[in-house]
Amino acid sequence: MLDFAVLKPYMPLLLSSVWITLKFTFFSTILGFLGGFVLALITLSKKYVYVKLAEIYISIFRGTPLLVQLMLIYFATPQLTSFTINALQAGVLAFGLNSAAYISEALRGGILSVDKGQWEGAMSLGVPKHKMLLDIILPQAIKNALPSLVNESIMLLKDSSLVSVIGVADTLRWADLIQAKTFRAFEAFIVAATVYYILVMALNAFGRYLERRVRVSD
Amino acid sequence: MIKIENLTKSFGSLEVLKGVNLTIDKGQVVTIIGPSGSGKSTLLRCINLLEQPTGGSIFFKGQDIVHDVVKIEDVRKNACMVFQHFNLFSNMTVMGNMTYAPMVVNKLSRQAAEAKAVELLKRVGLLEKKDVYPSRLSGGQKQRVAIARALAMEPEVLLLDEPTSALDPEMVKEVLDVIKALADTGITMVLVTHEMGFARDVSDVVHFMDEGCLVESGNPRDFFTKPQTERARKFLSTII
Repeated sequence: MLDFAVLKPYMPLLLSSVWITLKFTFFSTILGFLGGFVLALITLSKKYVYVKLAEIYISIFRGTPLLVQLMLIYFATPQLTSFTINALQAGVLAFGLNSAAYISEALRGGILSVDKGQWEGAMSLGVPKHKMLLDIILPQAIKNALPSLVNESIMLLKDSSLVSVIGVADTLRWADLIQAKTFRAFEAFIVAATVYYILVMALNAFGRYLERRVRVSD
Repeated sequence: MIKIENLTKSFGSLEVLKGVNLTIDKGQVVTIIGPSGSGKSTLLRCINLLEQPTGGSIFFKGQDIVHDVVKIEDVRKNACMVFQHFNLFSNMTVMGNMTYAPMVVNKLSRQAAEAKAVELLKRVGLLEKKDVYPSRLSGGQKQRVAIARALAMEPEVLLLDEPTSALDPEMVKEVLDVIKALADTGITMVLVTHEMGFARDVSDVVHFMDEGCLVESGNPRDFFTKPQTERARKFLSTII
C-alpha cells in the first residue's frame, strides 16, 4: 500500500528544500540573537522611554500569532512602502523580529542572574562598562540562558515550516507539492516530518555539546 | 595622597556616613575597624567611587574626585579593591583573571601582562594554579589570586574590604600572611577588617568608626592598649 519509491525522482528537490529550511532558520536565528541582545540591553538600561518602547515591542511580538506577523510583513510591506519584499526576506524578517522578543527575555534573565560581584570586580579594576559587559557578563549570561536559547532555536526551526504558506520552497512546501503531483500524501508528509525530526535532534545534540563546553569553568 | 573631607553618604533616608575626615599618606597601611553597620565598607567603597558620595570631597593626589570631572575608570584603576567575596571572573582562568584588566585598561601586551602575572602568582604562591578556573580554588586561594589580580594593575592604593571575613578559619592565615608581606613592601593600603590582632600588627594608623562617624584615630599600640574614647573602649572590650 505504501510506496516510497514514487518519491525517488523528487529527492534532489527535497535536498534543495531542506537547504532552504536550514538557511532560513540560520538567518532568522542570527537576526533574533542580535535583536534580542539589543532589546535585553535596552530593558536593563535605566532610560525610561527606551525601556517602555522595548517592553511594548516585546509585548506585541509575544502577544500576536507568528503567522499573522508573517502575513502582515509579507503582504503589507509592498502596500505601505512600494518595496516588493520576497517571501524569503519577509520570512526572515518576521521570524527574526519575533524571536528577538523571546531571546531578549531569555538573555535578560541570564544577565540578571550573573552575580553582582562580577560587575564590581571588573569596575574596581577600572574596566570600562562596554568591555565588562562583552567579556565578563555576557559569556556568563549566555551560559545561564543556554538551555532556553537552544530551545528557542529549535522552535524557530520547527516554526520555519510556516513560511511554506507564503510560498517559500521549504521542506513542508516540498511535501505539499509532491502530494499534489503523486497523490501520495502519507509518504510525502512523513518524509517531511522525519526530516524536521532529524534536524531538531541534531540541533539538540549541538546544544548539549555547547552546554558541556561552557561548563568547563564550573 | 588621599584626603577625605566631611564625607557623607546616604541610602535613601539612611545616613551611613555623617561627615568623615581622614588623610592617608603614601606608603601608609591604614586599617578601619568598628562594629557592623558603622560605615567602614561604605567609606572604603567611596574611595574608588563604587559608591557615589552624597556630600563632601575626596582628594586623590590633589584632585577632588567627587566634584571635578574625572573619568571614573581612571580613579578605579588606581584604587583597586579586594572584596570579601573575591569576585574573581568565573568565566576566566586564574591567568585570564590576572591579565584581563592590565591588557584592557593599562594596554599592556599579552606577553607583558602574562610575565607580570607569573611574577605575582609566584609571590602569592599560586603559580601552579594559573590554568584552573576559580571554581576549583579554595576560598583562601581565591582571595590570594584576587589580591594578585589587584596588584597586577599597579594601583596607587590597594583597598581591602574585609578580605578574610568569608573564609574558613584555617584559611585566614594564608591570606593574612600575603597581606602582611605586602604591607612590608611599602604599598599604600586601606584595610577594613575584623581581625584585631592583625590590625595591631600590620597597620601604621588605626581608625575606629561607629555609627557613620570617625570616632578615634591613632597608632595601633596606643589605640589597642589605652583607647581615648568610651565607645572605642566598649568596642574593644566586647571583642577581646
